[in-house]
Amino acid sequence: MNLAVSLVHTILVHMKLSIARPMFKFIIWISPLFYSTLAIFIYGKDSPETLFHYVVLGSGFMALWSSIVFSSASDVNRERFYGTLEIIFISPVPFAVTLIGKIIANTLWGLISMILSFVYLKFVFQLELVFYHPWVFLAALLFVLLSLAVFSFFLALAFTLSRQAEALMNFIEYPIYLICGFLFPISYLPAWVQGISYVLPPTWAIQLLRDVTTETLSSQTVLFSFTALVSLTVLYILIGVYFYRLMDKKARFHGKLGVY
Amino acid sequence: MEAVQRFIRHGFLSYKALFGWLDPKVYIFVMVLSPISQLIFFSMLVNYVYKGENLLGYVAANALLLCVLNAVFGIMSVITSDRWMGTLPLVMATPYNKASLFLSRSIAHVLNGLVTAAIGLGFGIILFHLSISFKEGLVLLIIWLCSIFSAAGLGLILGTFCLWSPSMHLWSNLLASLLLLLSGANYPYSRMPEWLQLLGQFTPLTRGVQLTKDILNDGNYSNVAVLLGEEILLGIAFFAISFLLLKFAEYQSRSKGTMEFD
Repeated sequence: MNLAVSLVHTILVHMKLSIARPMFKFIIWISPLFYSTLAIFIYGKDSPETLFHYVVLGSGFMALWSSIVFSSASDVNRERFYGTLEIIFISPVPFAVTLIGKIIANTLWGLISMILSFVYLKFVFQLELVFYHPWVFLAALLFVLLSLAVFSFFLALAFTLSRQAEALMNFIEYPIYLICGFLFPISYLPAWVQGISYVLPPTWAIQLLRDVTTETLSSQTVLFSFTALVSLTVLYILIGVYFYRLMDKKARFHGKLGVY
Repeated sequence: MEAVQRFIRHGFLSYKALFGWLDPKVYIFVMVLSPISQLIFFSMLVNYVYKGENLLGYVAANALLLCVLNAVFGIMSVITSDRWMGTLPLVMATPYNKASLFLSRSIAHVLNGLVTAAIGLGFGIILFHLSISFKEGLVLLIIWLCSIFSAAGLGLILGTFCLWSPSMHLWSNLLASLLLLLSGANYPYSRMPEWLQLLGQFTPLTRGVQLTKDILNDGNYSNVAVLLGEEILLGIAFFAISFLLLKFAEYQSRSKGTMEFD
């Protein structure tokens, strides 16, 4: 019960802390409008389904991904920079709970940013939001958010263990847009790049959302994307746990938590 | 002659001070791989959507846009890093002419922007199996140099904002996004609403992007003189405004002593 309360508190406090940063405000409130406008100008006029899959979902996902990259992935590193990492680490609440709380908070902001992008495209550019099966879409979206939160957990720890965290953080934004097929299908990429796409959860996450918003919903394709996303989520949970133990060891045995 | 040498030396030293301490790996990630990933993303996207039509123009326009990293973020860091390291009051108190000082500091970033854009174009040409003639390359070099000079002027205006605002990441990212949107690098310019097209006329790179597309897609050189002249004038205006803002900040720092406060 105490852990649940701590988690909720962490989520609320972190939501306030994140949005206090001017750059995060830009990512949540302004950048989705830029992405959406760019995407609609590039696509111009196309079928409602194509526009929904690649402009609405694509730019919404870009907004969601940016909130993950520029916050969840670098939150531990930010605490290190502030000198508060050790204090959080030795507090009675397990560090993993604090970290998960931070990630949920940022994912919620990412979701708000994604919704903002949908609303903007709907009302400013009069795009049709083709939710043919709204409940299936909502269920899929919930699972997608969970999966991306797990991926964020992995990234946060991977970046904590790497000295080049900030450079990597700035670097991975566009490659993920590209490799995971946010604005165009990954089948358009060279075969060797598609191999990388398949092991990244955002690829299957957006694919699942596209599959459940197709007019002729095919249970086979949905099941395929869903299974792939579940498998990757489990894989990244295992890697995340391994990285967490590595970081824990680094802190307790080597005393190097704050200095790489 | 000595003044010219001092001008060049100052620009070089300032640039070295900004990046000299960086790990080469980080420098390559930030200054080479990151812009190239942006170029590949937009080039692949337009290639998919427009089915390869006018691809060379779009790839080159996106390569030009990569200069934003130097012309906006680099130039901005000329002022922000001095403030961060506590050397800004010393720089502002020096008897040396401030316009000349900041112009010399901008030169290295303009040249670096040109190199980044050229690397991007070279990479795009190889990736998409495109080709470009020597004449086209030479004209583009001149156009891009003028466009990047103009963008650097706007970058310096933004840099002066850091003398008053603590939210520089917000301003710089906002400007970078605006330039990407208003330049029309990824779509026909006419696709934007008229009010955005009008706004685009007052931002740098718009003319550079248009000329790049005109030359590479249509072989049309007829607008080069006019648009290039406008781009240079725009750049001079931006630098003049930034010098006025610096003068005002200098005055405020002397009268209020608040230069290092937000």
